[in-house]
Amino acid sequence: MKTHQKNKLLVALSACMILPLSGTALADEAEAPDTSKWVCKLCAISNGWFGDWELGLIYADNPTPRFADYRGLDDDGFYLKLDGNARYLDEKGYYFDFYSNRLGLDSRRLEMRGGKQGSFELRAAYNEIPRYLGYGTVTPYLGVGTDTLVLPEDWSIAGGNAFMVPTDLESKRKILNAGATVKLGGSWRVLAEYERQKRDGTIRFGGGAFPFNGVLFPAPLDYTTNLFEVGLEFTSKRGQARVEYSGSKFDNGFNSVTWDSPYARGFGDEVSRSALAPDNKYHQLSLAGAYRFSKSFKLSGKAYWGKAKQNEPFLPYSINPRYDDLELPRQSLDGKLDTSMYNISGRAYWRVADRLDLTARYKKDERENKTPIDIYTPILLEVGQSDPRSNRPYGYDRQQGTLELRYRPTYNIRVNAGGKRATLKRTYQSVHKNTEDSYWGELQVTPWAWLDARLKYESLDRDSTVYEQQGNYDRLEHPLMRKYNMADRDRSRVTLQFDLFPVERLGVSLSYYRTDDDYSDSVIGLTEGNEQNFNLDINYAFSKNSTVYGFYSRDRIDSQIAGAPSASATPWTASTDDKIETWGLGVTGRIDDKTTYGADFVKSVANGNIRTETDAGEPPFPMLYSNLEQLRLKLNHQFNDRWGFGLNFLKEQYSSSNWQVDDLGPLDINGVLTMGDVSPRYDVWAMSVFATLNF
Amino acid sequence: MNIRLTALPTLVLIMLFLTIQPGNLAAEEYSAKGADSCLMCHKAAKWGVMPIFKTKHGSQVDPDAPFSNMQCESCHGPSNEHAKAKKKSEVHPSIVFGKDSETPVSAQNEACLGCHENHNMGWFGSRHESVDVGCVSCHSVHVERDPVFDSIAQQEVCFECHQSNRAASFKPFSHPLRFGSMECSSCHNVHDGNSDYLLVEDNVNDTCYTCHAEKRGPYLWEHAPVSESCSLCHEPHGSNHPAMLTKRTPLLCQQCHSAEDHPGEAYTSEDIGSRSQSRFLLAQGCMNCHSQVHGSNHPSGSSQMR
Repeated sequence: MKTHQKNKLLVALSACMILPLSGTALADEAEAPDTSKWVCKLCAISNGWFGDWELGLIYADNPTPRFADYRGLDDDGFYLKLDGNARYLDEKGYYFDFYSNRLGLDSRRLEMRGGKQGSFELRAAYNEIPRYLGYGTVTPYLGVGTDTLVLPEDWSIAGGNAFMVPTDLESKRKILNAGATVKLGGSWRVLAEYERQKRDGTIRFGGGAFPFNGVLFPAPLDYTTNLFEVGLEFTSKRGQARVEYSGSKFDNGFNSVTWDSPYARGFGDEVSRSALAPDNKYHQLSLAGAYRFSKSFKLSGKAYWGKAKQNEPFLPYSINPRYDDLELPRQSLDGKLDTSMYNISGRAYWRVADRLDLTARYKKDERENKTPIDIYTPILLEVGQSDPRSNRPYGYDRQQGTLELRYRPTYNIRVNAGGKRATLKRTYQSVHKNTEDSYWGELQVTPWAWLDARLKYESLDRDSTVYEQQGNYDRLEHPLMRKYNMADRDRSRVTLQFDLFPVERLGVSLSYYRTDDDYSDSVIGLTEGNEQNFNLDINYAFSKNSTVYGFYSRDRIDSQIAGAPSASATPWTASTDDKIETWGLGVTGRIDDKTTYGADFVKSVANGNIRTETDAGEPPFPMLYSNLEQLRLKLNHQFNDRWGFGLNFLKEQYSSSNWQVDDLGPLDINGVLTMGDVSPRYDVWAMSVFATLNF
Repeated sequence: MNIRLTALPTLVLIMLFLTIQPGNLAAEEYSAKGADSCLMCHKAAKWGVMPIFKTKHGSQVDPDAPFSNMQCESCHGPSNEHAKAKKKSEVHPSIVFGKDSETPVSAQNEACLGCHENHNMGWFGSRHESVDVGCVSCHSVHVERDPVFDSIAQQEVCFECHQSNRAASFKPFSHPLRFGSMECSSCHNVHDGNSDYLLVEDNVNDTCYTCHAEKRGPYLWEHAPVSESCSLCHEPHGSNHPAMLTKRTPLLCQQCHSAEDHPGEAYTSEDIGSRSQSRFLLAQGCMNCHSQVHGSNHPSGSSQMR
């Protein structure tokens, strides 16, 4: 970005940052009344402890990993049900809030905050997220969970099935948060947040093996991310400003995984080593501000400067001792690695007239990649030396400017119209610059109190500079390939929404959107993409305390892709078509003053149809399919003001088919050792019975 | 739109100086007894307002809280006419909240933003503001705990308008919204129009890195689209494909990769049983070998295989 451009932006931003501090009051405050006689004797001020707890048992019948994923109900049997909230308030303004869910499960979550209202607040939270990603997974490897995976001594591909051992792919993310807000004098306050995320377990990982094989195995996970944030904030009626530092530090307990090749040919390819995600650090300083010059004009902006660093020591080119003498150009990527990002955005909101608003926005987002460029000589699959090649530190510079007009000719009609120009400049990629112009118009009408209708149309036209191929290192892409994220594209998008209230207690909402993408200049690559979505929501309050509701959603995403095995070959074509239908029905209500109930049922069916065709006219792939059916029932009864009981029931059925894994053992794909997944299928129910305590 | 992007800041400054003007508000009268005037009627359970005294808004010791100031009229505005009226349904308080209210949404929101001043920073001109979303469209202030702050209830508030995302949460591969392990607000800051798609961070990738910091790199061998936007390959609201990918491999990859030999080959249904081609098609497709699609830091990882 050129210096004078930066200066112009910084002038505008400075206005946002500095003006808020002037603290001038708006001239239109209403006169305060005499409140000396306002006793507020009817105000039911609540001091002391109050809250509600649920304590009981959950029984899960025959859960599977797919059912347990995120829930934590992974085994057959009983679990503790413990959820609760507790709050404390006192007459001096001190308070303490405690909220918790699923304390007896591996998906537990709790949050607490306390302090003195109007003075300070301390916060803490803890959250666990369990993942169960394997379904029928097996592996022959020994040492699962470590960074060294070895095959049994007498391993052979031919007899490999005899060595397969069931292997879970599980991980857990534990998130700890702590934070504080302290109100300083005047309009200032300081905020601090800390978050520590720890994720460990195993995850599926793949690697190439000599000569032309693939291997999937469970790699170890030991991620720790520390996030920090400290900010100083000023707020007044006219202006607000915030300066903030935030940082992120990611550490991986395993920098590599070493694995025996099941396809070893004795060329030094017996053992392979893959790099795992390297440690990284990120620091960011941001300034944000807004200023309200008058009731009709507001200005806001934000800028940040960030630096990301990654300096993990490199592994050698190969674990194969034959290449021990091959020197790396550097011992780690950094020393000099420096990635910078700038983001400057400004918005002006101007009420030109009573019924006409104008909003202008500008945003710049830059990734200036200063990673040093060197020449490397990769060793392919531990056995073959590739041609020397240099790394490509990709960067970009995104800018967008938007103007939007909002006009309200009458109370019942609103018209929005606007235009945006967005540019994206890239480094080391096939297209240096994309420019996208978009225009939209939106009409919202409320002809009657029972109908609110909205129609929006948007047209986007993306152009690119000359396509100069920067393909893979060894192989050039097809000369007619246009990568879809940088290809010329015409996009149109229509959105319709109707909210109806035809009779009292009945609400109906209908929405539809359609997006059409046309990559008309792309001969090879993505040539067309479409997405349609229809939604219907209905709710009806059939009595004073009871409501029945339902929804239906249909999503269809399809695309056309073309490819060719060589520049002289006849192209092949492929189509993808995903259809997802989801509907649900539910009822919730109160039988009497003491008893509440709820029931809902959801069904979601997803189909995926793919067809890839050459001149031979091959048939489509088998359909990808999944069907989820979920029934939930809830009943709560209060015996008295303090005690009650509750009953929750969940039944969930899931079935799926996926031709990429179905009926394939771990060695059934020639040249690939997989983990033998099968498509998930289950029928599980879980029930909880619990006492409730209100205080 | 034939304008130079860098001219916009200048335009902003010109608009700024052109439009400074004093505003005015018609002065109305406050009630004689404050909240006691209101609660004479509204303390009844059917109005559902009394739980406010278990919330921060109900505090009488916090000098910034509504009940330490104009009490009910801090938010509802001077409402003496309503308090005195015989037919109260015909004479409303100055500010009535809700979708069916005659009070313009902007005026409803002004009542909230008068105290919650920090939300002014990104609200005006944001997508939500531009389609007249009111603070009370999402927030409930008279209840003991605003559902929008509850990990499970929040999504239902968002789904009232963003209905397609409710269905997306049931797709075979989605973020764990329906399990209450994540909220919409984990990724979206609905008050801030400065970021794309009202995200919590300033762009898509920075938002993803808050949980997936291992993808940040920078890597020695980067995969070009990864640093541009995670959404080029992933559909974060839910997908029909593993890892929330937008398409199934190998076609996902063949949208961009067409080099001679295996990247450019057609993999058809006939190849499912093929001994030579199925390795590129089945299981994880291309990622059977090229698993380092987010980047590799291995000196020999230029093909994203190490």
